[in-house]
Amino acid sequence: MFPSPRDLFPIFHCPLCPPDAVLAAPTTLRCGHTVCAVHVRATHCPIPGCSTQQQSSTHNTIAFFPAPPNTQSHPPDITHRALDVRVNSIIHILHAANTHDCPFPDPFGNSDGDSDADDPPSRHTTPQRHNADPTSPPDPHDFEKTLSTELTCEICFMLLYQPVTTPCQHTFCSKCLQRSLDHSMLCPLCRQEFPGFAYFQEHPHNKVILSLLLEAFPDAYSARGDAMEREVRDARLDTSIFICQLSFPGMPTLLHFFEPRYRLMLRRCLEKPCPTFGMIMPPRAAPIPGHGPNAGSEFGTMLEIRSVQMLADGRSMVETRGTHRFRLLEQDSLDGYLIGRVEKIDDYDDDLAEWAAQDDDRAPSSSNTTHVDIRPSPQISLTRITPRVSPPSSPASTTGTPQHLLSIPTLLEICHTFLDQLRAGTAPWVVQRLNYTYGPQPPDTDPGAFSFWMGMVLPIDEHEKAKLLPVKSARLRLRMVVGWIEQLNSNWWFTSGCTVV
Amino acid sequence: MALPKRIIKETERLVADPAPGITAAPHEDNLRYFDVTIQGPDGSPFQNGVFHLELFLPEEYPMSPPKVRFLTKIYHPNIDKLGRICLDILKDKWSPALQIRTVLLSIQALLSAPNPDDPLATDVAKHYKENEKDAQRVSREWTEKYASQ
Repeated sequence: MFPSPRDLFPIFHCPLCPPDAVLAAPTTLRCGHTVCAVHVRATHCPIPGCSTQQQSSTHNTIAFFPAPPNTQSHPPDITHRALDVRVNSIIHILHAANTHDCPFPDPFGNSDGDSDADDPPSRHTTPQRHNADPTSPPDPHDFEKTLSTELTCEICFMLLYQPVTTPCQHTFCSKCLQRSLDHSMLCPLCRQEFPGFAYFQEHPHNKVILSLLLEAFPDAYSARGDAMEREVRDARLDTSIFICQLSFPGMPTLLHFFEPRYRLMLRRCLEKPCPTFGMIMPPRAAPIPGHGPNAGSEFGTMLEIRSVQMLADGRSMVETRGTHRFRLLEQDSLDGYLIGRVEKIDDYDDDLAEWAAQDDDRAPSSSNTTHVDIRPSPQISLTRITPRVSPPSSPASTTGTPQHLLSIPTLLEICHTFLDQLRAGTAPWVVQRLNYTYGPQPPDTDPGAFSFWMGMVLPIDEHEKAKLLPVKSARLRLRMVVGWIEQLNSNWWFTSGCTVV
Repeated sequence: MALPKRIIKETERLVADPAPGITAAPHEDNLRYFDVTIQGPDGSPFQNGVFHLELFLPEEYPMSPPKVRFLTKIYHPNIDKLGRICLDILKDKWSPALQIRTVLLSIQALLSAPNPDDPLATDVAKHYKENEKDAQRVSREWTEKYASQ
């Protein structure tokens, strides 16, 4: 049975007034407590025991810069003593519904005028007291409906979920307000400027409204939470995709999130126990004939979030590290960003050298930059362990470039020689990239990681480097890298041979 | 992707309880795309006209404003010949607490109160500023020519 107004009144008792006194001109503070405006004098919550200091974050991966505020840095909401529009309207509704069975002294006096001034137009449905016709009994169903309308978020049009109240005393679902902040620092209802993004970090819920939701609409409220959880859990396309730049497994990448859609994506990622997202490169500006406009961006790298530094205006610097590669099987968009279903790409064991050697003649040749085999293609032979039907005895394989026959140690040797050459002073800027950008050089005992690292440090086109993503053999990737090294060497030879003015 | 609950609710309300002089119906194959008609407000040069518009809710709606355009030709200083509308709430003054209904009501109000000081169609605005009566005459003519049922 729906609770009667009388059952709900205790929620609206002022914690500082004598017992059973209903809030008069309620103001909700940042800590989520609501008190009569007259109690608010200092810059902190007047309720004894209320810690208005920011509680430490539950996500130890997120740091805020500047540090999250306490009330001292944001006094305007206190000194302003604005009226909590929603709490005030609800008290009116309770009184109106209660008038018949229990005449209640009006604790507001003539405060009605103030409350209406701040009401958004949609909430002028607040019923007037039934004084005109005291004989008609109040309809409990009407009461429930009016109350539920009053508890509707003006952004999502649904029952408030985790309500938070702004300094201008307007209440929204926490998630709705966050999204609105991504786009604008003005209140969606009154356009008053908000104190800053950090104010709303870990913003405590409006305790009075939350209590009312749980008391009056417990089922609808928990259904709302369940639905949000289910949406995440049952999503077939469960991987958020950030279209930004190339990254490889093991590589650190520092990212700057500023677009509203990606701020939302980041927040959603951070709600998960292990925050990760996928990153792919934007498609080439000019598509390659014969390949769709998205050619090359169907492969990417999953990034795990190491730390987040959120700036006061809501932008974030995100430190990530590549964990594994993936192939994008299916994609859609969610609130402006890409989501997808992905398949993990793992290396096969290079010790199975036999068949790998068989594949040599048709393996990707990195020196041929437009070679189709390097491109993501479903029939890429390297992904299969099935023996080949025809032996690789074409004459081309015997006259192919020597690197076809090279073993991992030899390939590594070529890479090291190239690195030494760089370090010797030919191109100090590359050495800087090695030292600062891509983390420590992986050891030779991990040729898989080394191939990515080596590929990443080469000064060549990123889309070319991205061809390493689908290749499942460390040896083949090293061969591609060595191919690029040979190209670079020949280019340098060429440019140093002819002085171009 | 699934349509957000808010868009479903707004659509239901638009159909069940339409604003006076305004209709909006979503396309069957794209529920984010609406066919809109707005009746020219009484007392304005657009009186008795019925103007067709298209309205599209982008992916980020309601965080981003709807995209609205006149399909019917109209002689108005804040609406250009491509039907684009110069209205602050469709741009930087958008708020997620606004909705399709409030947007369409604002456009209707813009027909009653042209603002030649913030013009989109500069030639029309000039006409309105220099000789309002004559400009209104053209608006009436266009309404009769292009916007009568």
